Amino acid sequence: MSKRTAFRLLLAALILVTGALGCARDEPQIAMGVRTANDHAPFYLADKLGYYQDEGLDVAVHLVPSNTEIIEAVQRGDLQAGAVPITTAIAAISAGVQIKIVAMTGRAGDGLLVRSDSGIETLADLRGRRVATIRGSILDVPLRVALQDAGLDPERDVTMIYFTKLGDMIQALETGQVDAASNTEPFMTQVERDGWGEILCYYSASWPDHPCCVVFVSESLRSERPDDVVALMRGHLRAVAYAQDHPHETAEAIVEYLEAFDVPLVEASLDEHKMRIDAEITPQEVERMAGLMHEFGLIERLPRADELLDTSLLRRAQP
Amino acid sequence: MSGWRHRIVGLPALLLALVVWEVLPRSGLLNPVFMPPCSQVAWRLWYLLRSGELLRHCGASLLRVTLGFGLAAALAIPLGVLLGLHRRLYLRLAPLVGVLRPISPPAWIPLAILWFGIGNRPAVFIIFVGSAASMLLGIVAGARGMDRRWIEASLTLGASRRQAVLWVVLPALLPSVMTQLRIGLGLSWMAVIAAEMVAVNQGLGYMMVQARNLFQTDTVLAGMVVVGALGWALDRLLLRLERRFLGWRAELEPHDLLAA
Amino acid sequence: MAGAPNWSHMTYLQLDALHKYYRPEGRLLTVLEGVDLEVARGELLVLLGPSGCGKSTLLRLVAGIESPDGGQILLDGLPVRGPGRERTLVFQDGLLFPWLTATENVAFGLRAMGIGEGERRRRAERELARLGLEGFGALYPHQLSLGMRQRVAIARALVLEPDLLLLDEPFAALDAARRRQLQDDLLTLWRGRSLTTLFVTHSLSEAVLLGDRIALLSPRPAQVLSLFTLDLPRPRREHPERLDAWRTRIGEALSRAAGSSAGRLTLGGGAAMLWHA
Repeated sequence: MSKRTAFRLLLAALILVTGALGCARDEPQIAMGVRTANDHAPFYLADKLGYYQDEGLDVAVHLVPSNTEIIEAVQRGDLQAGAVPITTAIAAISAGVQIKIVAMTGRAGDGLLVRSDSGIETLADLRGRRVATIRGSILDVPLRVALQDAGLDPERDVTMIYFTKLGDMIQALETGQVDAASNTEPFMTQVERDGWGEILCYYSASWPDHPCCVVFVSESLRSERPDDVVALMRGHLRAVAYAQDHPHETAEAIVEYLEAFDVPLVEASLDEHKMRIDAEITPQEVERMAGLMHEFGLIERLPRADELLDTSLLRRAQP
Repeated sequence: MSGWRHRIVGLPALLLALVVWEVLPRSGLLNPVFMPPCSQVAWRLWYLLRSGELLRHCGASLLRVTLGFGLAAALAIPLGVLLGLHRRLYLRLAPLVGVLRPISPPAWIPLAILWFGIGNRPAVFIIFVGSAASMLLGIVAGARGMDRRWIEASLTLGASRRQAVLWVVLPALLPSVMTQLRIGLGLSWMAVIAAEMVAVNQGLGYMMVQARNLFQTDTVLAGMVVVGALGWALDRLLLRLERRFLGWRAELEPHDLLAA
Repeated sequence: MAGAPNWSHMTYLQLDALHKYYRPEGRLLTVLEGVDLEVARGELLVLLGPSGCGKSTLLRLVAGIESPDGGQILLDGLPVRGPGRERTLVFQDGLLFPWLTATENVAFGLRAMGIGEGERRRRAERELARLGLEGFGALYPHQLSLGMRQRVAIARALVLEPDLLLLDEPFAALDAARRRQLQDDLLTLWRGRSLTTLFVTHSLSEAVLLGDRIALLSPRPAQVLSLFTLDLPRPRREHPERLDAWRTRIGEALSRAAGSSAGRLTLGGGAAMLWHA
């Protein structure tokens, strides 16, 4: 073919590609990405019990395998809202992703597992040992705080081994490749029940009631349709209240959506000493988490509080 | 084309690509979150280099590749020659190798971690399986396709079987072995990046997966650039070795090998 | 018969009822069917036959790189088992090792004998000089012309001072001038060492020029059709009309053979090839 034709084809291809990357898609009113975890129960409940519909919203709740994928989907425009660990949200905002945290969904529930026969009884016993965690995540920052509390330097006094999946860490613990594994409910309770491991501590011991997972919305949703976000918050608040009062039904919903575990186990893991489903969130705790991430070198830029959090929509949703 | 000319002729396309890469994200035509501009990635590369991080990660990946590839070659060359020359033995083992080869490196990861734990060993294992089977089959094919008459010639010159293998078979097979080594090195390099995405604390694959989870796309791209560049450099290194040892090969004419 | 070579009539190489067959894809292909032949010490015997008749196979059996399926091969009374440098074979395309220089190629057999580097280099270079390749030893085969490569191949065989020199159409790929040159060189070398030589060719002219005797082979499955003893004095090029006479005589024998065994002449081109000068 001639050079001109070739050039035109190339240009057309280029335009197609950029167009495809930029254009909006056909979607329900709000597409929301959540994980399979205890503290995402409010979304399962709201979805199942129709709380969003009651607010006049058409919300599609998608179960997504990883936090990173949720953020990436929001970047692409496939999702407009989601629930991820606060650390993921902070890292994303720090890197320039256009989202904002609007509410909490769950607190605590994370801690350290060790093998029953390991002889490790306190955090101080972890000196010189290998600890499995997911770098930069909610399993990492509170862990470092807990270690510091116990007088250990997370970089020097223990060897952090970084994984990307919860299940891999448990396997590594079981086979003896690591001495402690940072993990979350309901895995913690399950390991204890299985007998070979035990819970060394919960991070809430050194940071009581620390934030775990948060709800966020994309900037475009927040600026273009704030009323829809308020309606979403109303549904969320209702679901949170329900979860706090009905642990058994909550456990049933979790088992149904996760397609794993059993109701008695999950119900036991929802115990208030282990974790708490909650919608309230304060700027102070968000700033503290961001500050710690920055201090530990997990994020490069420390975002301002108003960049990270907007509670006005949650306030408007409250009676 | 004469020497320097054919190197230059590829430059305009390369430069155009770089310019497009810079302009599209900056102008907003392409969302910069998805594709940071070229200059930002370049800056990130510089930053990583200066902080020593990049060298640390490169070193870790290169070490694993060297070990894994080295082991794979150490197995594939002698075994390949043996199977290539002994038809019966080859028929017995060929199905087993044939079944193992298509299993891609990431598929081996769970097993590798289970058997070898975390750190260098599972990565080296994954690289090993990623390249050994392919090199083995390639060397076998080369050995089977070797002109048997060279062996015959050496025997009629009084060489023992052992001498024939060492002095004739190995040099005769060197060209195809070198080709297989280059292919195997390429496969090893790809396998190491996949293998480093789990349970290691350094390496280019690790660097990229961590960057992804912290939404640092410019680091991901910087990593890809380094992976591409190192992969290219490794291949050139082997090519140089090939030229040095096989200077006689390029000039082999067809009628040397065919019967009149 | 003045000037005819006077060798000892002791049989040096004896082929008895040699049988060889192959089974390509299950079919039975008989290549040699009951070949009998005797070669005297110091003789240059030419095996003449159409292409594909099995004369190369015969040579390979004598060289020991293949074993007969029937019959036996005796060298100086002892059965031949496997290849060895005393029965070295010069292949059709020389088959020099491309990764070795000319000198290293020639020295190959010496190295296999365990001779030290200095000594084998000396012998190799001397042999190359005898074949007119002095100074070319450091070159690789690909840098040499075809004719030169064949010389190196012959040097490689001769340096081992074999009891029996086997040559499989060594000059077939060369042009007329080179072929002439090499034929003369071979004759010189053969005479100088009284080397027992088996020379395979499909060229009538070459056979008549070189052979003390010519064994005419039939097309596959091969048998020795007839043996001719050439009472021609050497150098034979000085007697072109006698060469001619022999060519005619053998040529007639060939066409008679072709006519009488028409059923086995599967290669029409074979007979025509024999007339190729």
